[in-house]
This record gives sequence, C-alpha cells and structure tokens, in this order.
Amino acid sequence: MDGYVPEEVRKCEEFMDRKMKPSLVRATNERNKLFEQQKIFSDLRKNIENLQKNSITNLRTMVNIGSEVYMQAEVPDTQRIFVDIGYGFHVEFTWDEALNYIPLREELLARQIEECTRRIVRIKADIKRIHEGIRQLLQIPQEPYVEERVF
Amino acid sequence: MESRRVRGESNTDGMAERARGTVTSLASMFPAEEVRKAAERVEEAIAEKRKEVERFREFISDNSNLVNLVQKLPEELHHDVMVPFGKAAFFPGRLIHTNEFMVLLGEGYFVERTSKQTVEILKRRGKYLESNANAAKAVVEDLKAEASFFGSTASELAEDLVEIREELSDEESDASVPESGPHEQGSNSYEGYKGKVPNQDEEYARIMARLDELEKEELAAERADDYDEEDTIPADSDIFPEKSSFSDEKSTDSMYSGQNLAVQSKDRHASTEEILGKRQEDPHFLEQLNDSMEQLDGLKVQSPQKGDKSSMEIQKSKHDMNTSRIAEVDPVHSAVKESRQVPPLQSSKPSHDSLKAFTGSIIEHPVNLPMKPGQQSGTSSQVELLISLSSLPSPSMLFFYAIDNHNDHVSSQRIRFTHLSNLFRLLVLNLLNLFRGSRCGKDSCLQAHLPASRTLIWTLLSLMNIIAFKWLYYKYIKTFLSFSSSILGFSFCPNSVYIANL
Repeated sequence: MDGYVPEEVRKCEEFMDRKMKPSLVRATNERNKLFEQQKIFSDLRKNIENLQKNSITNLRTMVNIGSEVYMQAEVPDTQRIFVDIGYGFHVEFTWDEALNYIPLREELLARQIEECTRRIVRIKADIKRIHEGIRQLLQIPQEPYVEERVF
Repeated sequence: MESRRVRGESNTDGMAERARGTVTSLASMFPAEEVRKAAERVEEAIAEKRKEVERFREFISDNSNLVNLVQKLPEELHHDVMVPFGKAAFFPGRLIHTNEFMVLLGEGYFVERTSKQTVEILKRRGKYLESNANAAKAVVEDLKAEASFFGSTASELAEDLVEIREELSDEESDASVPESGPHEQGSNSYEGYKGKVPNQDEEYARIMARLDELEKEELAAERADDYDEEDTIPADSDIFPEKSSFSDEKSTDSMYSGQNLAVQSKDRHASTEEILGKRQEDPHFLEQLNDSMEQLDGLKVQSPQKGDKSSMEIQKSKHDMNTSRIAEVDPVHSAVKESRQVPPLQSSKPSHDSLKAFTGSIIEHPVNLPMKPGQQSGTSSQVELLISLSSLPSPSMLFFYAIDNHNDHVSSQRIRFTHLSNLFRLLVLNLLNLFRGSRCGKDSCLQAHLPASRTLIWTLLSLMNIIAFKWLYYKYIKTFLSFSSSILGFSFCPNSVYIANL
C-alpha cells in the first residue's frame, strides 16, 4: 500500500503538470490578448475623441517603416478613419461613426474576456481539487483555515 | 590495433585468463530509460536552437528588405501611404521628407540620418545578426552530434552489447579487448569514449589486488626449481590453459572463470572449448613453470596508457625470448629490447629463483633508456656481475614501476620499499656470487673470480641506488639510474638486463 499510494500521487502530479498547468497557461494567455485588444480600442476611442475635441485636421506623425526606422508622415485630412473590424477588413469611418463602432467592439471584447476568465477559474478549481486529493492521499494534515480579516 | 584485436579473438581462452575483469552489460551501465530521456532532452534543445536560428534568419531578411526600402524612398518627394493610428486604425496620408530617417539606436536614443547613412547602419546591424545566426547554427550542429551519440548508444543497448573491462595484466597490455564490436579497446579508452572518467578508487583497488597476486606468484615461483627454456612457449593461448592447471594459481583460476563470463555469449562456447582442449594438453611441469614465468612476465606489463604499441612489443618480445635472445637485441627499438631482456637466467644459485628474472617488459621506459646495442665496452666484468645479480625476483617492482605512471602516490612507497629490498638482496647475492664464483647467465659472462674492486664498485652503485631511492624522490632519480644501469647491462650482457635497478 505504501508503494501504491505514492504511485497515485505521482500520477496525479503528472496529470497536473502535463495537462492542467499548460491549459491554465494557455487560457491565461488568451485572456491577456483580449485585454490588449481592449486597451487598443479604448486608446483609439480616446484619440478620436481628442481629435474631435481639438478639431485637428492635419497631423504630422512618425511612421515606423521597419526595425524602428521612422519616417515623417503627414495626414492632410483626418476626417476619414479606416478602422479594423476583424477578419482583415477595414472600414472607412467618420469620427462619429467610429465613435459609434468602437464601444460595440469593446463590448464584444468584454464578453470574450468574461468567458475566458470563467474558463481560467474552472481550471484553477480543478487544480486545487487535485491538490486536496494528493493531500488526503499523503495524509498531510489540513492547514488550519485562518479567518482573514475582511476589510 | 588490428593485430591486438586479432590476437584477442584468437585467444579468447587466453583472454579469459588474462585479467580479472568485469563484465557489465551496457544496459546496466547506461539504462535504456535514461538514454532515451537524454536523447529526448537533446532533441528538445535542438528544436529550441533551430527556432532561434529561424528567428535570426527572419531578422536578417527583414533587415535586407528595409535596406532596399530605405534606398528606394528618397526617389520621390512624397509617398502616398496609409498612416496607422494606433493598432486598429489608419489614416490615408503621405510620407514626406523622404530623405530623413529617424533610427533607434537603443536605450531610447534616436538619430536622424539620411538614406545613405541609414543604409550603413542597417548593414552593420545585418553583419551582427549574421554572426549571431552562425553561432546558433553551430550550437545546433553540436546538439545534433550529441543526439546521434545518444541514438547510437540506444541502438547499442538494444543489441545487448556488453562492456568487458579487463584489468591490464602485465603480459598483455591489450588485456582490455572488449568483445563488443564498435567499442574501442582498453578499458580506459573505452571509458573515455563513453565520456566517463575511470573510477580512481576502483583502479587502486584493482592494482592492489594485482600486487597481492603477484606477491603470491613470486612465492610460488620461488618454490619451484629452475625453469625451462621459453622456446617452447607458444602463443599466449597456450599459456593460459596451462596456467589454469596450476593448483596454487588460485587467482588464475578465478580469473579464468571470471573471464569466461567476460566473453560474449556467442563466443563463450568457442573459448571454453578451446580452453578445455588446451588444458588436456597439459605439458611438462617445467613447461608449466615456464608458463608461470611467462605469466609473471606478462603480468608485469603495462600501464594501460601504452596500449597497443607496448602490447605488440611485448608479444614480440615474448616470441623473441622464445627463440634467440641475443640476436634480436640490436636492431630493435629500445622498448622492445627492454622487454626482450627477460632474464631467463639459469643461475645455479638455488636461492634466487630464475623464474623471477625480470622480464624487462617495461614498456614505459623506452624514452628513458636509449639503448645502445653496440656498446660493448671492455669493462664487461663489472656489468656481468651486475647482470648476474640482477636476476632477482622483482616482478612486483617492475609491476609497480609499470603502473607508476598510473598511480604514483599509491604505489611509489611500495616501489621504494620493494626496490630497497631488492637492492639489498642484490648486495647479498653479489657477495655470494663472488665467493662461490658461479656463473651468471647463459652466456656465462660472469667469471668465477672477480676482482674485489669490481665487486666494490658494484656495491657502491647499489648503495647509491638505495640511497637515491630512499632519500630522493623516486621519480627524478629513476631516469638517471635506469639509464645508467641499463646501458651497462645492455652493453655487456644483453640477455639479462639489470632491470631491477630501474
């Protein structure tokens, strides 16, 4: 029995290391990407609002033409913006239209993030369950539940 | 190398006798699991490095594209482009100031450069990237070699190859001829091949064991009478089965049985039969004595370092001993000469055992002892005296000396002690010889009556030797002493070399 128990423990650990932890990592990465997208669109929105507020028509920027080599560029007319709506499409918007679209996009992203979060939480719970099982197999005494101060 | 292998193969029974060896199946030494895991690890490393190489190549191609672009842009005043606005939006716009480029040098430093200057910067970057890529490629190559090595190990394991490690016996320096095919000969070399370092402690233990065995053999040989000619000694294979018939050669027997196991399964039958057959031949007792002497001689052989050359020479020397001793001294290489000068002295002194005559098969000495075969000077008597008395039992010492290179600090003390004892014996024998006026050696070079002065000179020499060994560091003085004594010995009595002085 003694040899058998560690075998179970080992198998649990192996399962955890090989399956659960990588899937946790993957889910976390996905969520991070979604967060990035969210930030991009939120920045875009802020910039457009800025442009609108200051009625900027011309724009001088530095364009990265590759490997951090920049070149001056001029935007004569800022009224028309081409926004990426997904699947490689860019739609020509005016400022207002863009400002209409962007929150929709942000909403979609938020939903996706929520789903990803739920997935992550599920994986974490599974890992915790396996941990508990290992603890029971090895008969390690349960850590006393410390009542933490709730602010 | 080839000849050694052949010899080993033809004398599987001899090999069985030759050394106390270990047989380890490769599977036990390199467990299959681990080999596989190691191979996997190396594969992973290779994959990683390959990715790196890919990345570098991408950078390099990007760089060259950029160079082209930077060279092309100044051709126009303006370029109509889509100007990005963040990551998700564009503005239609124009590139202006087409000859002005802002290049990032790193750490937040930008420089404004023209097209040509930018191109130069980019070219330098490209060179740096290329050198990185080449380095990564070299690493991949190394890892691939490692992986192939692991792969070959795994395949060898699958073939159930066995590593046979034999201790080097004095007779044959190539004792460690493994039966496994692709492996090199010699336990040390094999271990090196496998990338392992020989276990020092094991070596010491082995050498100590051999020392003990040699001591036993010495005693056994002392008890025996004079030995027979060595002419009848055939190839090694005959020696071992005969040796095995010795009752007091327990070590041989155990060796023999041990070595039987050492033979790979497919060869086992053949070797056993061969050995049994030879056993039945069972020659004369004198032959057996002869063989034991041969064994002693052979056991004195060699440090594993000398490997092939020495073994060949020893073998050659043995055959030479078998035939004529005198004729072959001159043309041969010094090491071989040394080895030939086995002293099969048929001294009439019962006290000293001719079987103990040294087999000068010390291969280690060749550089130290440039033999001058033609040096036949007139003061032969002195040397003759030396030589006559040199037929002392000192196989242990020779053995120690032979392995001195191997384990200096372990055996040096023993060497000194043994050497001192030998020298003392030499002194005593010298005096005895003088008084009894007996012959020395086969060619009776020693005259019955020797002037006292010569005896005195020799005594002084011995004393000097003793003192040297006692008070000085063995290693430093041995060259000189061995040189001098062997020159004297070789020049005057080529057949019996005073190797004890070594």
